[in-house]
Amino acid sequence: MPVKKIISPFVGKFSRRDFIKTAGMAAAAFTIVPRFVLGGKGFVAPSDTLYVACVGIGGKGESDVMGLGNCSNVKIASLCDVDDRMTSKSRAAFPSATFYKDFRQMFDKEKGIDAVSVSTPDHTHAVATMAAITRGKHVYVQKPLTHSIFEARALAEAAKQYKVVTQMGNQYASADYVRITQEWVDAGLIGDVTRVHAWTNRPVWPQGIPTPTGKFDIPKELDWNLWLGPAQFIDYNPAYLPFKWRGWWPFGTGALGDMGCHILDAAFRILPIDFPTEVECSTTTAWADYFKEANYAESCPASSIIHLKFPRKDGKGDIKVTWMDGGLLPDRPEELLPDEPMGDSAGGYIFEGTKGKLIGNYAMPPTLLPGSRMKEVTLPAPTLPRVKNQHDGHYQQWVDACLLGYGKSTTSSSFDYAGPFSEAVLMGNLAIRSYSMRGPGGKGYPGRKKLLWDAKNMKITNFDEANAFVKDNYRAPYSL
Amino acid sequence: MKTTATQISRRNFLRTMGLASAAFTIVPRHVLGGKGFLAPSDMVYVAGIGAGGKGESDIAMFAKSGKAEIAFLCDVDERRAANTVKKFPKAKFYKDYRKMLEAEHKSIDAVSVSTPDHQHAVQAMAAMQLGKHVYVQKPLTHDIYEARMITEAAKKYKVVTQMGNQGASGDGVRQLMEWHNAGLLGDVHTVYCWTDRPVWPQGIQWPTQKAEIPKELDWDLWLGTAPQKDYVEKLVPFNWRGWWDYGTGALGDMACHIIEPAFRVLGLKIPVDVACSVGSVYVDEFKRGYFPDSCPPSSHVIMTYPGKNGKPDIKLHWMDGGIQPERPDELGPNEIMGDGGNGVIFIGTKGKMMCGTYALRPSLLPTAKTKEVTVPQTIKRVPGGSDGHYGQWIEACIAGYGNMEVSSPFDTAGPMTESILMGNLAIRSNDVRRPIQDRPGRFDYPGRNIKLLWDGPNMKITNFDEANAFVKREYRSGWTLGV
Repeated sequence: MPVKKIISPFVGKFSRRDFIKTAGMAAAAFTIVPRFVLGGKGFVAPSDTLYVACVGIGGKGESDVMGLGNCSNVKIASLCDVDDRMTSKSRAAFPSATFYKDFRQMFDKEKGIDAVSVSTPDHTHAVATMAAITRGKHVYVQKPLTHSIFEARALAEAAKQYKVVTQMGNQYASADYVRITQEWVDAGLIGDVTRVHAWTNRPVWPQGIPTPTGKFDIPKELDWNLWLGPAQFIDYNPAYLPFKWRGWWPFGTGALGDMGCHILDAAFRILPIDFPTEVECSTTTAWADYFKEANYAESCPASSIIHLKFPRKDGKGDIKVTWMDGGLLPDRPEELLPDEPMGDSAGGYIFEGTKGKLIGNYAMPPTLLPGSRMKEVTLPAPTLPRVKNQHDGHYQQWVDACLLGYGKSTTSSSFDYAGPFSEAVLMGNLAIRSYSMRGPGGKGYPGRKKLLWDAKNMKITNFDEANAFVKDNYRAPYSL
Repeated sequence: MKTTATQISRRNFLRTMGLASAAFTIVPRHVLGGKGFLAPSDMVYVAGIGAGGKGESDIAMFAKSGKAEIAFLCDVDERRAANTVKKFPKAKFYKDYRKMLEAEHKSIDAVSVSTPDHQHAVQAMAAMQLGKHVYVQKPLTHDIYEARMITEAAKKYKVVTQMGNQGASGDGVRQLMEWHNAGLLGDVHTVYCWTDRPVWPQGIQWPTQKAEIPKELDWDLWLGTAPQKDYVEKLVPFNWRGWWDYGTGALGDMACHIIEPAFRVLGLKIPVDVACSVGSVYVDEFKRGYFPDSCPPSSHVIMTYPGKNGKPDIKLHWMDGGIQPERPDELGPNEIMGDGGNGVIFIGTKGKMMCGTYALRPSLLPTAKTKEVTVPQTIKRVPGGSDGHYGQWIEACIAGYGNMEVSSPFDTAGPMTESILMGNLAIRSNDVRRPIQDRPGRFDYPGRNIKLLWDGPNMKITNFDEANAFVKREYRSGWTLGV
């Protein structure tokens, strides 16, 4: 493996290690001496290779394995997946990597790991990530960071405590578009933003459906018990995996979890907000039959609308964020022509400011509204540092930061950012689940109100039942 | 069979001359009545088309007014009509409204139409063309075109009309008008209307299993103007609402009750544009269901009404299927919004107000303001409120065309129904698809995520021609609106 020179705007000055690499590390890839064994502050590592273990290596995990494997200075050292049906490509690509089904066993045995990528169903993000962090491993975790608000808070705190380099896998946080948007907002092109509308076409799979039933043989390649992880035990059903877990509350986080961390990234990154104070929602009702409302408590809704209120950190009032999914769209801005597409096929965001509006999406260039304004105003010159290779460089940025060590550089979606961000996204889900909750005897919907959030204490103050959704009940022996 | 207004008066005259033997002892008011003529019986002779379900309750309410004689009943389904037939044994029963009108029109003053939406227009038109006053359930019609035609016909034939959105006679909407007219809201620029309907499955596949037609049901007559289809279970008597060939979805079911306060308070007429999105249905991973016959499980429709006299444009949002607008800041977190499942919120430059379905529970926002503010009552209430809606029409029929105001005559109910059906036009435009070249089985959906521009006078969408297919449907052969 040829050693490439790293040219990232965030990791520009590390001449000593560069020097060493250039000096002759041709054999590095084969002599497995993990960096952290000899590394640490001020110590020149014999290997400038980051030894990465990947938990969850099929589906999105597979693309994460490949993405990390393609990075400079990375050795995919170990692979882990509970379902061996999904692993062939990743295992074939890295035949020398050891393979495990249980991440706990992997962490116990593989002492040479520097960093861990977690790309599992949402409900196991936190336990796997925490196990890595507490062992001093840097972590790259797929979005949303966690399944519950409590977990997001805990991971963000642990990352600080254990001084590990972190990155959430919302890769467009490293793209230029969000930086361009930020430059425009910072330049005051739309004044102070007061409202954000964001939406997605997700879910693009069935939601608002009955809990699956039936007895099925567990495929021999799958360790169902491990797949369940901290979730409460239920019988195996192919309706849950792969992929479909997204739409089931015990495992997934619905459309919001899937796309919120991409589409709302601009709002969270750019605007002076962190924790919401209020949340409310409504959802499309599922009907089992005529006049018979369904109670599909485990299935995320087919579509939803969420309203979050954030106090601006600069004290200049509030910012309201509205989220719509499942096909629902916000009001078209007046400035948009009747036939002009609003957002892209995946969704979009609209910032409404005191002096104007803009529209964009994570993989779509921002546009001032009306579009003619683009020619009328002088767009600010790029001032924010760009990430090399943009979203594709999201992995390398993390790898470089890991090699530099905690606190030496920044990553686009480190947990001090991604934690509160995921919390806000998960607040939407808390609202949805409260909204769907039946009252005593199955009658009424006591949670259909605006929920008031005490972020510091992680508590809904006006509907105590909602607090059941702040933290998941783990199955023994799992714990954070 | 067309009948002009002059023919009607001539016929009335002839009847007056001596039709004592008409239909048993039934001497309809119009035979002897008319302006200034003292009728021997101050009863309006009503024929009820659609006698089950909502029809049953409508007919009962007319009878309850004490001034209506339920003279004839008509229903294509004897099972549904049974209760009403039993209750009004003197009323002659027909299955085919055309036969009833042809045979009995001389003994009928007024007609109530309470059938599935796809039959409203032809039935109301036939009655009006015979000079009959009409009470038509909401929504007035199935298509925009029909609403326009029915509204024009009511004027032409000078008949007393009322749409069955009884909340229009309630006190609530009048209270809202008084608050608005007193300037408490300033200029209203946004209205949110929402309902928890449909309360039945939508966004579903048309049932494929054939079923036997019940012997009491005349399926062909039930289909009426709608395309020929095999009889299926669970369509009759109620569930036609969720299928575009017959019903008008959640909008058709509830908007006449919920949008009505916005129309009345703000004097809305015809929108200039409409945009909508619908809750999607996925049948499998990455596989979106395509059910163009079925109304959607939820929808968000936004229409713009041009501001009058320099006032701002008014945006009217409609949300159904469970989705709701954002709670106004002035409404406490634990307070009920609207009536819970449904409601209207008016947002003006100076204030906001809110109500539930039928404009019940009207309140200013914050709600404490409702008791603090006193606005003089300037608008006359309808005796009996919503329940008085039926009696009001009966009284107006007695008074004669042009002599008494009703709450929901077609000249206001027509444009409002058009607006509601505009929402459906936008929803159905979402399902317009064009095959993508060289990609078999793949389609573009050009009617999604755009704003449709409406040329109201010409009833035409000007920027997406396929949408115009939903302005007026093709009737099944043998059926015509007769205009």
